[in-house]
Amino acid sequence: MAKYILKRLLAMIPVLLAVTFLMFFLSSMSAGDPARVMAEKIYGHPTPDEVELVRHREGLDKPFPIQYLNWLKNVVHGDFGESYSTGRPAAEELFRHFPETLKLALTSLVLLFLVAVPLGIWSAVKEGTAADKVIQFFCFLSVSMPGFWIGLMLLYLFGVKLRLISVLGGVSYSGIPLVAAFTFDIGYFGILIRLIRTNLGSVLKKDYIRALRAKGISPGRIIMKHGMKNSFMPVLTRSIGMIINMLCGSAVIESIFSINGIGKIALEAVVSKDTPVLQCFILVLSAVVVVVNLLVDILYSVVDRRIQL
Amino acid sequence: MSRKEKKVKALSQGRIRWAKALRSPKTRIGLVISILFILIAVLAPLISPNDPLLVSVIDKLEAPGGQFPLGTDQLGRCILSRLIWGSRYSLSYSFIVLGITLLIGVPIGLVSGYVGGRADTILMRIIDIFMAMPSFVVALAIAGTLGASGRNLVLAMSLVYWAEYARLTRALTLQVKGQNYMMALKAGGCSHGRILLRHVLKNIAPSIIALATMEIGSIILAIAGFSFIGLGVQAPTPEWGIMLSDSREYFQTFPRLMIIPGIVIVIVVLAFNLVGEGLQDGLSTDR
Repeated sequence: MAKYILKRLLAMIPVLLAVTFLMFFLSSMSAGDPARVMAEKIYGHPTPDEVELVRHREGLDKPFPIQYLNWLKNVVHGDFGESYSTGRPAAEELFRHFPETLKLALTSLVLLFLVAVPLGIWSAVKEGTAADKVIQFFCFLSVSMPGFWIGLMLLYLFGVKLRLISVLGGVSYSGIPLVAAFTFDIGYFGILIRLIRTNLGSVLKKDYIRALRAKGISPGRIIMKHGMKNSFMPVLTRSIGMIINMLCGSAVIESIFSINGIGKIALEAVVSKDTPVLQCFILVLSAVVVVVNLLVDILYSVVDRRIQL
Repeated sequence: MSRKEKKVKALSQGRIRWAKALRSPKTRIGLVISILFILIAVLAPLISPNDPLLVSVIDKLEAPGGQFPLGTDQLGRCILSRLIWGSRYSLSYSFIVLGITLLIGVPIGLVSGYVGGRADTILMRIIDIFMAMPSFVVALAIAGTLGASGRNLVLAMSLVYWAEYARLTRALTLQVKGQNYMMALKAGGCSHGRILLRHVLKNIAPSIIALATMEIGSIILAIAGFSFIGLGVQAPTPEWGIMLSDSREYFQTFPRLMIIPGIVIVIVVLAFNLVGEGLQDGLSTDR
């Protein structure tokens, strides 16, 4: 086990190197001149000589691979450079806004499970009934809706018409971003309900479930203890993907509901060409994705003893 | 059973599945609406009542009716015309993304699964790397470095999505490869290229087509979403995501600016998803 984890951690390195290299390669191809941007910050209206001075001092006159290695060296030491727009360390910029994104992601996750798990179970148990059909229709709608549009509509309904939430901030007066979280979950409700229905449904048709029923074990116990346990893995895998998306792709929701999270910072960095912040965001999130995927694999072997790492 | 007979039977089974998939009401309703929108996109210059880019301040924020069937936006541009032209951008960009991802993903998956060994290991590593990149982060990176535009968005989305098809194609190829008739084909002296194209690809095509159709809806949503936050198509292009983004400043006073484009997006995505589900139900072999 320890050996496996070590191996996987080592395998992470080429992935992260590839992502950062690609990103660096793209930056080097883009128009803008970072030396000029920096020189303008220092000198106001820099002469060409001053720009060249900055270029030399920052190592921007070196060949591209050397620049990449220099950047990497700094990153290993925890230095992502300073934000062009605020002058503060890029990593600090990002982590300062992380709690807002985390709050949104956690709220979305809890809400998602509170809605999808019961509906999924209900739909699996009552397969083919009217209730199941209604739930299936809801699932179909859920995967076809543009989340951001529903977000705007909800903001209009709750913010403008009913005045239950603030139009700026999207937070209900209780402080929990419930409407934003719901908007986030729209596309995922359908996916998760269907997944639970398919997996639980196929488990419930197995012979041993019938045997349990014949033995007189209560339906609730059969579903929760035997059915859910055996349809847990695919649901877990998919949920992890959703959590990753919630952490990385929150920019749309944050922008609609004016939440100051990392997604919004990243968007602003794109607009203002704030490369250090952008690079930090991309590297940190890629690392999160890789680590989370590793955790899933480890969790698999803990939950299911048959999987050997 | 001789090889010839077996082949005839397989073909007819395939035909039966296609017929079944195309006959289901889901597929039919979806197809009718999708084709309608494709026609609208193609015929946009002929059927749009006004110039979608013509700014006219005196006509701004007019209610539906008369010269502007769905009213005008904050710059006095005809909303209906913008929606009609918007279908061009939304549909063509989605089809381009889908085409590129299929063209990259399917061959790589085929080779990886069929050749196996070291080539497979290396290709899978590369696929893993691309699967580890969230599409939002890549879109952000590309928009941040190359600038935000429709073309760069297509580039970013293609860069991420192909890996999914490569993985699926590889898994399906492995399944087909394990079957007995593959050995018979090889023993019979069939070339690798022929086996790959005529036998493997033909067998796995229905599953890939079903997934691809299912994906069109989510690609349309993603393109609109990225344009909405400014990472994709840029204003004043009449694109649905841009229209929604423009409507934000007026949504307290003129909610129709945001309601109408949203409804159009929902209808299109629903239609493509209907086709996808219908195909999936019919084409998925009951293995």
